[in-house]
Amino acid sequence: MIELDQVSIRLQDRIVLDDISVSISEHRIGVIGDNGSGKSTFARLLNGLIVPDSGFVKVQDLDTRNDGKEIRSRVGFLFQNPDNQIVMPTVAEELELGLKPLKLKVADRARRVEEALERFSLTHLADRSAHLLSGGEKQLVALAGVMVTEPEILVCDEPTTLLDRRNATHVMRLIAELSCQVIVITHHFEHLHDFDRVLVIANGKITNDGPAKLTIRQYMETLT
Amino acid sequence: MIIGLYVPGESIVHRFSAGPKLIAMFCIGYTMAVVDGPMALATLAMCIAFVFVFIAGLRLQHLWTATRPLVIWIGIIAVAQIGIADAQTAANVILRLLALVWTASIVTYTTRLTDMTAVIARLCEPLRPLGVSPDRVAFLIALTIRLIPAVFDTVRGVREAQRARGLERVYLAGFIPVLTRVLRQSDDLSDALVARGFERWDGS
Amino acid sequence: MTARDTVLIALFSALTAALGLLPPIPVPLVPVPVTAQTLGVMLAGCLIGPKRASLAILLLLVLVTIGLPLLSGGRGGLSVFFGPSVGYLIGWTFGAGVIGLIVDRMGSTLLASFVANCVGGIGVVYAFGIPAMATVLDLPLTTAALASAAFLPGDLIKAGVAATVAVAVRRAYPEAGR
Repeated sequence: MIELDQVSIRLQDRIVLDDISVSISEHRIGVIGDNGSGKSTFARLLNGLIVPDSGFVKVQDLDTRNDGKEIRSRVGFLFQNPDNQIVMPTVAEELELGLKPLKLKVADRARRVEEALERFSLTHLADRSAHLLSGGEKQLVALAGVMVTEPEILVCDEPTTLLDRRNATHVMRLIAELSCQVIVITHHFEHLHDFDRVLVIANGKITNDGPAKLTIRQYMETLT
Repeated sequence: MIIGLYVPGESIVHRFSAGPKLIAMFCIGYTMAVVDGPMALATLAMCIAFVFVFIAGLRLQHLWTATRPLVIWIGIIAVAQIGIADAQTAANVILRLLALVWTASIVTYTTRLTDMTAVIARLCEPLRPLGVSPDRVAFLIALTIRLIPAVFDTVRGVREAQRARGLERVYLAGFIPVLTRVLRQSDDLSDALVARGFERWDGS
Repeated sequence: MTARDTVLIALFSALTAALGLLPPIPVPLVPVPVTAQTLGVMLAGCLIGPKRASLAILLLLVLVTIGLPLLSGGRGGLSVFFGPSVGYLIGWTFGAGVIGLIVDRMGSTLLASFVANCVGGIGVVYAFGIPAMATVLDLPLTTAALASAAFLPGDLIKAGVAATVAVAVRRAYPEAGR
């Protein structure tokens, strides 16, 4: 459960998000909008990477302004560019990194890594250099690196923008199948048809909000 | 992908652990600083070369790789020392330099990157009160190893783009997009670290 | 140390390493080939502040120590610390810090950056490099200084390049030193 209450964000003299109030509790939520509409800022509000200039964001009743660290342990975040997310030399080390704050026993850690590798069909790449993987594989590693910590909520900021269609479909199917709450910011709205709710952001405001198919159709009408 | 200088092998030198190997290296280095005279130093250098090739099981090619950067220096020493002092001094300096560099190279060629990293992290242990966490140091090493090929690709990509536009020699302009890209990436990377609980690691 | 500090240190360390992988550029009238690596030292000093710049270069030296061939010409491993250039490498660490301090004090104008690069990137580096070279090669200081002079024209060019690039980058990316 995430609540935004009268949230505004300004960057110098530009208003990025303007007085947004919304509460999100559905299982799978899509967020669509044009470039520069404020989508990415919206995503970063949800785990406290950005805190609002006014208003507040509450994640499971914790305020992002005060409890950022705790919130980030519950909210996983998948970035657009896996190159900027993957920080360790090999795939297995990358998955292990997210588990560091959890202070698990060595054996438990290894088991969690192994499970995550298997779940995302990455076992054969475990000792490969993350740098040498394909774009699709990299995004899977990034996703596995987040999901290995078993977050309660996953926020994805344009997770398929840099992928080809085949890989985009594959990554989105894996994301949609997750059992945790999932919030996907994207302009590949064809992947959102079976989501529970879709928000449209334009010029820093939520301009439409409703069931996926209807909201996407109305958004597409504004494109022409 | 950057490849370390480590040469896989099964020799007794390979099997020695990194810490004692480093201590041995410093002891030998100290001996060499004390020993004087071309004959003694030449014997020492020969011994080191013998260990290099026959005991550590490294190839002559590796011995050459270790020696190559010194060639120009050997020339400088020869010219300068014979000018200032005499041939004997020149021989002393050259032989000592070769022996030292070969000794250090044996350690580098026979020790895995991960073992060396562990030694570095252990050496940082006394610095803990100053806020240096061995864990963080190991993490920084891993992060940088991961980033070098990516940054190199950026450098190469920008050069290619400039060549494509016919800017064969404009080196200066090429660094600006490289730097802005590196800095932009730093924002995303630090966001990614924070999102993944960087603040909750020990010692932050 | 914040996440941003950590990332900037790693990135500038990686950048300096990557610049060392570029082939040296022959420059007319300069007797020795000019490598791009010291540009990394100067750029770090100009752009990320004294502390982070010093640590970035120190980190590069740590990577070299553990056995990565990251110095220009593919040099690396423990042996470089027994060779004649050891002083220059140690000087880089302090030089990057001094550049950062000067830029912090004098502002990040072209002139200030150039002066900083000359003082930190050349003055400080040579102050470590020349005595160390004299010791390793058992030469008088003056002879070692004379040998270093061969690198001076190239280093001056690099000080100018790094200053120009740093100023332009700050304009394109104002929050660089934050």
